[in-house]
Amino acid sequence: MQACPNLIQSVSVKTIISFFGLILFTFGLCYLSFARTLPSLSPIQSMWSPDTAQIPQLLIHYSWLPRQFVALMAGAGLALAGVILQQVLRNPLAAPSTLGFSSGAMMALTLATIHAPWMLSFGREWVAMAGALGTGLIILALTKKRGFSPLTVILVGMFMTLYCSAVTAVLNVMDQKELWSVFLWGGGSLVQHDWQTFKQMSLPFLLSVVAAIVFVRPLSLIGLSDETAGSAGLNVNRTRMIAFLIAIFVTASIVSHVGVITFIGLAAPALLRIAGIHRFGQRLILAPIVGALLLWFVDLVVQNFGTFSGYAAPTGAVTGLFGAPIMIWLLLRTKSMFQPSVVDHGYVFRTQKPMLVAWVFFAILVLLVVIGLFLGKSQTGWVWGAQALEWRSPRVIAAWMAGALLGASGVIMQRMLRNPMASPELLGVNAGASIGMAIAILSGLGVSIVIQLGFAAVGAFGAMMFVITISRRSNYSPEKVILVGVALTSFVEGITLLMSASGDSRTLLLMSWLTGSTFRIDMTLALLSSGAAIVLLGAAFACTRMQQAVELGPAFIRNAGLNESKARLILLLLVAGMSATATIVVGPLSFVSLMAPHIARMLGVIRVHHQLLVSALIGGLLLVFGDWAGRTLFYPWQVTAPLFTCLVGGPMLIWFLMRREQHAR
Amino acid sequence: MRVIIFLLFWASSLAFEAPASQVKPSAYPQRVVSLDFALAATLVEMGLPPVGIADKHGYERWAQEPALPDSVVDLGSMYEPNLELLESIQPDLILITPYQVHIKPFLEKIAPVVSMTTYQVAGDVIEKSVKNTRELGTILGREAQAEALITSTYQAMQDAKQVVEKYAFPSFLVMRVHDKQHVWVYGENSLFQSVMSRIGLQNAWTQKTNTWGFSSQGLPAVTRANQNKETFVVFLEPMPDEGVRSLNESPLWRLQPWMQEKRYITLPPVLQYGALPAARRLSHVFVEALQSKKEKM
Repeated sequence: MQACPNLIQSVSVKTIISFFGLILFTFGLCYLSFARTLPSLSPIQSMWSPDTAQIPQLLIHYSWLPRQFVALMAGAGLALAGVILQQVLRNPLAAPSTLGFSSGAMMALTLATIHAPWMLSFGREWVAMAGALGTGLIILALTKKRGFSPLTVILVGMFMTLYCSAVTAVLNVMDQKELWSVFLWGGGSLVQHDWQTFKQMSLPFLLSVVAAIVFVRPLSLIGLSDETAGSAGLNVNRTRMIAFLIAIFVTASIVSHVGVITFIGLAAPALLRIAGIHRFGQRLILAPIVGALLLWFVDLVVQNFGTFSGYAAPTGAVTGLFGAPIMIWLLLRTKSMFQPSVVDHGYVFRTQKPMLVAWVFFAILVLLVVIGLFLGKSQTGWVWGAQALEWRSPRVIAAWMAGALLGASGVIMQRMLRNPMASPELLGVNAGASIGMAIAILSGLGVSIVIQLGFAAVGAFGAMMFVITISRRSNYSPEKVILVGVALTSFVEGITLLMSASGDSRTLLLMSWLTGSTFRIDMTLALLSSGAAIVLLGAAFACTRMQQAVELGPAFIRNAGLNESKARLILLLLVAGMSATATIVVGPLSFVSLMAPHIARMLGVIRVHHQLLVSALIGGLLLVFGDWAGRTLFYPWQVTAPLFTCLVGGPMLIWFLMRREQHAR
Repeated sequence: MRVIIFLLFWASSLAFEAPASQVKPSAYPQRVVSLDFALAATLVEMGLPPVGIADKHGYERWAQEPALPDSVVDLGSMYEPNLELLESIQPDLILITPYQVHIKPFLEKIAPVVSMTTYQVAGDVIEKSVKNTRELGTILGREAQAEALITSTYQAMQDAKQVVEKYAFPSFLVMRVHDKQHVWVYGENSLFQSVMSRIGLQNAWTQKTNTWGFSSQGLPAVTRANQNKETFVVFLEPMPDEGVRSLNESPLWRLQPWMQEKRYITLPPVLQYGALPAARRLSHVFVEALQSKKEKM
């Protein structure tokens, strides 16, 4: 093995010691949980041939032992998928959970539970697997024309995540009481009751490992760049497709059985990178081992200490919850681990009349505001009139303002990070607001809307300060900021999964806010948010030159006579402020900020101030329309504006993107 | 506590406006909206069905009894009811629980709002429900109907107790099965605990439960906590897939003593966050299921 000396050289002694320390600790925990299940020392054979009359022996054989194996294998498989995805997508944020496989599985389960319960009688895991595989294959089909280029795959993957979560959220809002079993699955529980799961997971897992080893050379080449891989005689597209298929296959087979377990697929490869292991071949072998140990460790902690006030916490949710601080801690210790992201908008068309586009959208927006205010539904059907202005006007104003803020902040964010998948929610501000809201609801302090929104605001600004403090060391370079955002988001996901899997009735309360809602807005709040929106949008237009310089790079920032880190800080603060205001008003679902800049770009609006304007208008009209449609289509139920926008806008955007590809060819 | 004080004030202000003896029935709220299933059921039993409730379809599925009149308007989501629609049906009283207290300012623009606490704090469900029922009776001027509901509920439990006493059952484990691994086991703070203790049945689940009266557990943990081989198991419908039969495919379920000796019963849907009407329904269906089980054994 030539790899071994390399490996030992590249890893520090401290890393090796802490690794073995962790292993020892894990084995200690393992013994503890074994001893708890089997109080008196019985013959060791009870592990594989239990006395069926002895309940403790049954538990060891049918529950404890398979659980340890399933934990190890699930961790290994998710890490394998993560390391492969990060390699082919050349992006440290790519992971099974960020590409929408788990969300697809969750959506399929939710749909089946409500509309086709008979499907579940074949076994829940098959429905979930169909969902995960289906999502993965849709991503592949949609990105095929572009040769599965990394950015397109990530973009479409993010869309799928958002989209599937939105569909699930709508179903949750409408049929909440039926879905506790889906929530339990979503929590990511490793509880076992026989060897079935282990058996069903083993074959796909082994097949994927073998496939990954067979393709190790093409896979390590493709991590460099398409040109290098191509000149080495590699069929880039086919290699990518095979890599995706392996990752999708192994993820689907795990997720379908044990539910949503985030973070492992992201963290195991990241840990190796931090430990200084850069060769793909080594990472491919080591990542599954690290992933297995990580998940096993978390699960053992859960098995031993995870039951509080009569509730056994699911492992997946706990992983998300405790993964976040560890991730942030690791981030603080590392200097740099990412290559700069790639500029690849791929929009070639450029309009000659950007202001005309702006006026058209303004006209549509005014029309939609009027419809939103005057056209509504009653028990007897459609009604036109001013009778419900009292209820509708705050909602319409709030939707408009929040939409404008989201649209504009998306432009700044995408330009600053030079990444078309960047959206302000990556800053973690939304996540901070959600944490604040969760605390308000769980502590029982949130007895009024003002107090609840106050908590959300404190959370949002707390997260903002946190992110800014952390990124000061790296001169506010956006790459680290994003990872903090991802960590905070996974923390929020952990909270909601933990709450929902416990059957906590307040979950539905929190969810109704998380899916974004204009319900809580009264006139005072609507006017306040308008004021904030005008100030922030004004600031955004005032510093378009700075945005342009930051997008073009350090040399241009200096040329423009600006201080590099100061310019970045100002833009970060601006985006955070916009995002925080919008989140407080319409909740943390910010799909609009991803979508509006793209529509503007697609219509050929290129220059910063034009794109800001058009994107703000589009954002506003999307949310105003979403608010109106969400209120009327499912009457008397109300689907929230951001949710509805995502539901309808998602496929539209994908369709646009795909059509553009066809024209380009 | 604040709710009680508020109610006292409210009730006393009513009394000031017109002494109860002289008041015409129309002075009391006639068009009541309930954003809570348990309070809606209580209203029906008191002879004043609500004019609108949140999530009507959900009520029909999960509470079943007492049936709502067809004219009841569906107001949509429990946490974000349709305010335009709510205003258009012109209620004169809106009943909520503390989980909806944050939307109270909006509701108060439409009609007076009363918030009643049952499952939002720990405690004996029936005691809390009796108190709520009496308060509702005062607010609606239907004290007699409220007392009748309380009496009939206690009577139902008393009847059930007399039947059950003959059999001398050991303990019961009440669970809702979500899938083959996960169950909710009901104990302290639940409707089931409250009714079972009054009809003389012992609950085998003595560990902690949440405010809503259950504990979300994996099957292995439940097995480990309860190794009493005499225990009866009560499955609550709706069951996943094909019910108890599908559980038999799994060895850990199959080898449970209660499964092997078929010491289990299944109960039809009873509103798990219910009040007195649900308690009465539970004592009926529980005894019926036990009787038919005993006949077969």
